[in-house]
Amino acid sequence: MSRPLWTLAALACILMLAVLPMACAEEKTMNIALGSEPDDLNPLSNTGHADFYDLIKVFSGLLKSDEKLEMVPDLASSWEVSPDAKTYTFHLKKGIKWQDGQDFSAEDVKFTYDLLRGGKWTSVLPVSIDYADIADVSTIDPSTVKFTLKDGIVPFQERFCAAILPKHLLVSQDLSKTDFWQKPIGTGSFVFKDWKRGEELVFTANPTYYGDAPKFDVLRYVFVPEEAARISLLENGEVDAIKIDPRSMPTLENAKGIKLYSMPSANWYALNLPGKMWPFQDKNVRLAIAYAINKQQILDTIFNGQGEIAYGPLRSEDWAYNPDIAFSYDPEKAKRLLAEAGFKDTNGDGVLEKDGKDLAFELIYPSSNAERKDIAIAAKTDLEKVGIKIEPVGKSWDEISQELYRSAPIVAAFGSPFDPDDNNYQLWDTKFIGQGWWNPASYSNPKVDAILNSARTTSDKQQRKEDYQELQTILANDQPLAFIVFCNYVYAVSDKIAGIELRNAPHGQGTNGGINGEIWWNVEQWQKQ
Amino acid sequence: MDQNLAAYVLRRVLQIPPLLLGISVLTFLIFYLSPVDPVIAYLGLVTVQKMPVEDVAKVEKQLGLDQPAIIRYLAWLERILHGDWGFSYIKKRPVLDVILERFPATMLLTMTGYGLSALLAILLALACALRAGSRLDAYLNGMNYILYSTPTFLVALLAMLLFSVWLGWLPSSRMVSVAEPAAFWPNTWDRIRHLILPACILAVSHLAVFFTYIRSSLQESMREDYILTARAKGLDERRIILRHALRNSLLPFITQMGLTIPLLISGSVVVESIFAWPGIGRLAYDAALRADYMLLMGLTLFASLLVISGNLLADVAYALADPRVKLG
Repeated sequence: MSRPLWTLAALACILMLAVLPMACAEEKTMNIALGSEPDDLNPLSNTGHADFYDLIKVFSGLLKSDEKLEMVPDLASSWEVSPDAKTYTFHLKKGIKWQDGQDFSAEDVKFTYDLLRGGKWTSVLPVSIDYADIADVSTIDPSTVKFTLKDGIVPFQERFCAAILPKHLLVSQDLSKTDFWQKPIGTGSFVFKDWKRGEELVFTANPTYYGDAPKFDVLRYVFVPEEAARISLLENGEVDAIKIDPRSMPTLENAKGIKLYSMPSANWYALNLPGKMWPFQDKNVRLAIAYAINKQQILDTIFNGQGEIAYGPLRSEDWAYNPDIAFSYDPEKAKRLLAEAGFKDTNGDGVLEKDGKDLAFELIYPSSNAERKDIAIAAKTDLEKVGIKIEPVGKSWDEISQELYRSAPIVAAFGSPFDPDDNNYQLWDTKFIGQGWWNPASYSNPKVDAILNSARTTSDKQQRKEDYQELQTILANDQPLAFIVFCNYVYAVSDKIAGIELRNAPHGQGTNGGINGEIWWNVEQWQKQ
Repeated sequence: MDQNLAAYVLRRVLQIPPLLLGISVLTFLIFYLSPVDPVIAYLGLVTVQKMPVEDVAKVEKQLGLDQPAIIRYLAWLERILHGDWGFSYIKKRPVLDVILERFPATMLLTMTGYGLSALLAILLALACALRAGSRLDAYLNGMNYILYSTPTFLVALLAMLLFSVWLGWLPSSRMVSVAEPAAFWPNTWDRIRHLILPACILAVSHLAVFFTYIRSSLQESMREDYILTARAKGLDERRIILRHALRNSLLPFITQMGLTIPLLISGSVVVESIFAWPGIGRLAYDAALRADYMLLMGLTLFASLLVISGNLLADVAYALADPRVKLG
């Protein structure tokens, strides 16, 4: 070929590349790009209490949580609780079918809860501890099921959100090896269609769904780890919604056709200061650290202002939130508290000492969490100013054993938007010391134990509120963990999407990752205009 | 000659099993000695948080983690020989299935990348040889060093920003557009468009090594006696380089290509992660991050198989291409 011909050919190629019609998301399809991929579609592997597995719209539970995080009927049409809160009777909706055409019945409910409380399949259904309080499940007739509990625990109601599994498909299976978790069948609003590993997961609307039919036909999750690539997919219209780092907000603020949502989350970050480690037994040291950290600055720089300062474990969205526990950033007070605790800089190196020991320690953060790393670095700068020397050290989750978690200072995160009993009971009650990841500060306070127990056994909401407010006051004064901030989760969504409901989200995988407890919790009600 | 070759191939093939056995012992030891807690790796952090201690022990037993190392190794080896490569903790599926379904995507990407890379390397090396000592030669050499020392993830991100985000010429990620599968031709074209950026990045990331290799090999050939003879015959310099020097210097390059087969997997880790390419590299990255023993062991073994067969192929190809090679 001659030179002009070559040039022409090259030009034609470039033109074809540029001009080729961009694939536009169809109207009847909802495409969401996620940063990570689920391992399987087991709806119970991550389920605690009223927690849920948003992605898997294939399933449904007896109850579900609504936009106010309150329990509403789902597979059940109504339910009754006995006055002592020990017996729950559920009446099921009639005529519900599994997606393979079989009838749904109370037997399926009994099968699922027997699995959950039996503790036999802990590698598959590792939630047995939450359901061990159930003494008995019995079917009264095909559409009525009765639960008897060992104790009258008020917040137990939230545990009736667990996804119900089909007995006829699973009863004879080895649950740890079955491919049911790869292509599940449920009673929910969407039917599993296809899963191309590393690429996408596709669901279609369930034509026999008993609730409100979804407003679109195809729900597709695509897996794109890199944020820049997700943003590009959103900008050219291939996907409808993505999660972004709060710090990426400015780049998308004026983007055409894109709307940003900042959704509150109950997820709080704190420095775990284990009570069994010197010098954190001393309350003044913990308080000094809490006063010395410039929380507002951390919120503004690391979370782009999207969130709220934390003084205790409940966010202002929570019904039991206590607004009186706030205190302001006060490095001078921190210095005074440390002096009271007996710390002094005797050798003039800028680091305080007591009994010949420097007030210096390593602060561990999980290296896969960008925001926790940044918090560790910010804490280093802040604490240096009051004479505490810390060295941030990143470790992978696999190196952070439960033992390390409760014996070394670490940037921790917890938080539940559901009943205040969730998380708090396990984090502050003495009997959870040494129990897995719970109570990492080894916090023990008989007063707190009594409050937590009273609050979970009384059904008087006002009394419970007072209990939890008192709990927050005690925790704020004790700072078993130095609370820092609650984050928000930030999403960029096509402005054609209506029906989005923001609600306080649970502790998940942080501001960058996450597939669960996200803005798409009610995706079946979204609509493209 | 043919009989000779067959015997050679047979001998080489027979060397494979003991080699693999050695690799399997090493693989097992590496993972056995690592500090990772496989129960957390299996169940995930949040889950283990909610489990009572007895349940954790139960899971350990289910996974066979309470057995001594030698028993675990032998059990693993026996299953491998029966085609059962174990069960992936994180994917909750058989390891072999997980690896095989991801393999084609990686092959497509790496083969295209390698082809492009080799082609570019040969062209550039030729340009240098034809104008040895010129400005172009010096310039290409300088570029080579810069290319060699630039991390792939940086090149990949910059290229994505430039070509996808700002210019919008090429797709930013994935193998196909996010949509229902189209008819054959539009779909094929769509796939080619998605392949361009990651394949080019992969090509560029290996270019420096290939280019250096061919160039030095070409320079060596140029000093051989037969080149002197050819020059003495009065042959055109172009003809000397293309017909005589290049052919001879490409032979060792075949071996080099065989040796770089491990990069088929490792080299694509970064590119696959950035461009959301559903290949084996991203799988290996996930498996390593989350300490999925079985999957990592399977991947290591799979990669070893690739390397061994790659070397075998390269040696055989070399023997076929160069009649001077004595098999023995």
